[in-house]
Amino acid sequence: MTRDNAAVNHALIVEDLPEIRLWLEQTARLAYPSLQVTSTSRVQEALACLTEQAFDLALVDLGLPDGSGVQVLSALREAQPQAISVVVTIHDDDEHLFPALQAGAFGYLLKEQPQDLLVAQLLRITQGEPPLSPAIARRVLSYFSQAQQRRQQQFKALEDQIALSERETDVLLRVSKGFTLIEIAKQLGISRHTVADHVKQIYRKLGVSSRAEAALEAVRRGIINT
Amino acid sequence: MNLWNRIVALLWAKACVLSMLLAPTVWAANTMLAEASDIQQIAKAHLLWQANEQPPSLWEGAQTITLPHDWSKSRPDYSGSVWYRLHFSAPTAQLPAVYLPRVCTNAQVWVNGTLVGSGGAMQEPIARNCYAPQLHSLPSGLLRPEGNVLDIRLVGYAANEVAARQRFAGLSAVMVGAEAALREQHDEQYFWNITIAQIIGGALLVFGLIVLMLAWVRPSDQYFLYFGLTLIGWAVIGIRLYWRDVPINGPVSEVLITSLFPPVVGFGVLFLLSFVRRQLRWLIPALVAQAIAVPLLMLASGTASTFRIGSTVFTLIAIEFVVALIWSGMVAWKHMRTDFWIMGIALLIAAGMVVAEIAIQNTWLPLPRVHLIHFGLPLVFFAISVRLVQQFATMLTRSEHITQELEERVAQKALEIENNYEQISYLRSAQAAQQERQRIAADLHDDLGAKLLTIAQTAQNTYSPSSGNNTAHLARQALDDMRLSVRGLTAQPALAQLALADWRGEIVQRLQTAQLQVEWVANEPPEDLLLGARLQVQFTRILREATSNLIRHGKASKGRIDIQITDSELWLDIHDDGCGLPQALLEKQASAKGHGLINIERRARNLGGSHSFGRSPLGGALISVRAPLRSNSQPMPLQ
Repeated sequence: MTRDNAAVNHALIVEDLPEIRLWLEQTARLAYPSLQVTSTSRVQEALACLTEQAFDLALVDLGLPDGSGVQVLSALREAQPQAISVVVTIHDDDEHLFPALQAGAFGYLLKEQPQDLLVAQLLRITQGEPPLSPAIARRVLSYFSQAQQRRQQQFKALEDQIALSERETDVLLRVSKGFTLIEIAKQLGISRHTVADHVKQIYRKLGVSSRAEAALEAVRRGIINT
Repeated sequence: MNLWNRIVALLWAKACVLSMLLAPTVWAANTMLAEASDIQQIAKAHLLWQANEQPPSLWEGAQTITLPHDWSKSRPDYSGSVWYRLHFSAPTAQLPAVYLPRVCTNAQVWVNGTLVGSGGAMQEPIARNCYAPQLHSLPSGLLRPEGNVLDIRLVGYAANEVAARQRFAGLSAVMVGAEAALREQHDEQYFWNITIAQIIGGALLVFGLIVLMLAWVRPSDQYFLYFGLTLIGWAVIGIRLYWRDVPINGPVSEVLITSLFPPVVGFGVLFLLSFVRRQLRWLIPALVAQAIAVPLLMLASGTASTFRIGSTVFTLIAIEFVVALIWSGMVAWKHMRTDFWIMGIALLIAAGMVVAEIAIQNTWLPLPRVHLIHFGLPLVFFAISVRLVQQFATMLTRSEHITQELEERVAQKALEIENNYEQISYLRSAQAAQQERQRIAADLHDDLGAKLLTIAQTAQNTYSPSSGNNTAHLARQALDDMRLSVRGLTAQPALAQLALADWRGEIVQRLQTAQLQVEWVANEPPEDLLLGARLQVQFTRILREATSNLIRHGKASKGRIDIQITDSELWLDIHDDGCGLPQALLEKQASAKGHGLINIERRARNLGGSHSFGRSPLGGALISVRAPLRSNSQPMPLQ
């Protein structure tokens, strides 16, 4: 999973409004001029595409005519874990975004932002510095503390792999209080890139953790035999 | 009600007096009839104090006496049987008979040496016939035209062995004549002495049971219980008048009869007192002691003292009863005038009869033909019963009326409350909806409307080279406004510290991205303080607009945001080190229009707060906003 400076050659765009879809294609090409783009407008089409082609990047809208973009995100994580998936939405609140992040999204873009800003943000995501708002940071923190409590009694070994490190928790706490990554880097006396790495790890562990949760739940219900 | 009570009282009083008077009148009429027809009333007799079972043959030494004869006057200590011999000539009637109006305790009738009739057992337990007249047919074959001998064997007790004068041994005048005429007299006497007693006994029993049922449903009114027990007790005492073949010996019966009076009269006394709501703590133990003491004393003293103890007991309990009567009458007179009339009159009669009974027992008055007290007292009881039932019915009606009234009032009140509640909740929801509508309208009109209008105008001026860019910018702002408006509709109040963190994250990020140096100063807000959704939204806008202004117009290199949140207020100061605001704006000579500050001004006003534009110590502009904080989730009232 090396996303830093990874070559982005092929992108999947899932968006139902034609104008926005064109605009997103344009934006993605502005970020990566040699990009090959596959566009779909429905969940089922997107899922079909996943079995046929390999993608480096996916821009997924959440509200789709035949379902939720979260389904595409989950499927993408399962089928092509190396792909960077990004949610493209008009909702910037944690209630809409958090399930998508749990399903494997590595960041989010707000549709109404100016194109030049979007290009910059997309580049930052693909280069390993996903955005993290205080509200989402709070959500992630409470999720981890609850998940940890749930797991601790049962699977100690697994816990070490997927629990947040002290540093990561510290970074999350600071983000949740409204500090920017630059400020946190200064406060901790580390480089901005190191802070960004922590954030990446948080995203990764969020995905791993929620998958582990699902697996544990399945074991508990006797779906999977250990 | 009062009038009705008085009428009832009068009627009953009259009924009592009339029935008292009627009995002797009927009797007198019959006596006159007897004298007029072919009936021989034999008053002369010989008496032999001998206990033979057959008529004695030797009548030497026999006493010559006049009927009615009373043993207590000649030989009060004699107990056993005696022989009377009377002579009569054969009646002319076809079917002759002999009639003995009073024989006590029992008698056999022999004619010319042959037994023709008997009242029952002549040995213990002797048939008790003191109250029952005897009528025996005379077989014509036994009769001679003249010189017929009528022997009467009478069995009785010594005067001191019975408890009441009514049961002193003795024989009334004997009548011989046509059976039809005599039967009429017999039946008359039987009716008044026996049948009436039975009717009264039955009626008392029924009444007593009804009153006991009332006592059962209203245990708080104790007088129902006492009255019911008095009635039933009196009915039991009355059994002695018509139960003749008692299976126990005479002296024992006397003890039993006497022992029944104290408890029954005791109940009567308790009734009188409880009816006028008076209580004596020692009364019940005293009455119980009396009821127990009487039979014990009688059994201990032997049969020879029965009459002495009996008449003492009767006198004593009669006095108790009369005292209770007088006292309750006085209380009724003072406090319950309505009851006094019925109680007073009925009880006066009872008192009179009790006094008469005492006089009879002490031979101050001759023995009347009917048992007076057994006539009078039940009538009094009946009158009281009627009064009690009437009272009960009145109470019932009144309580039903009250209940009904209460129910009606409760229903009415419930309806009123319901109506009020409906009205209030309707008004409240209407008010809330109205406030919400006004808020949405204001937001849409002020924010979205203004921006859409600008978009429309800039879109028209297509010759302007910057119009496309500007339109896109305005449209984005409109989208942002819409999102905030929607959040203001749906969001819950949030903790102040979380709202503060959100603001910090957004604003500092933005200023940093714009390559500005940022200083964020904020206090720790009160821990549990909640900020309403509307305040959050409006303040987010103020912050965004102030930040935009700083980035776009300020030419600044440094910004300082100072937010202080207390329980009652929110302060915001935004400083920069740029070129500052125009002098005209600072001196309030120009409006903030054109500098993007008009929105800040309006939003501050909408929050019920204030704003000021000034010069920052940093050298540039200072934008200040103060907003009051209201209680948690209440929407801010519109200005």
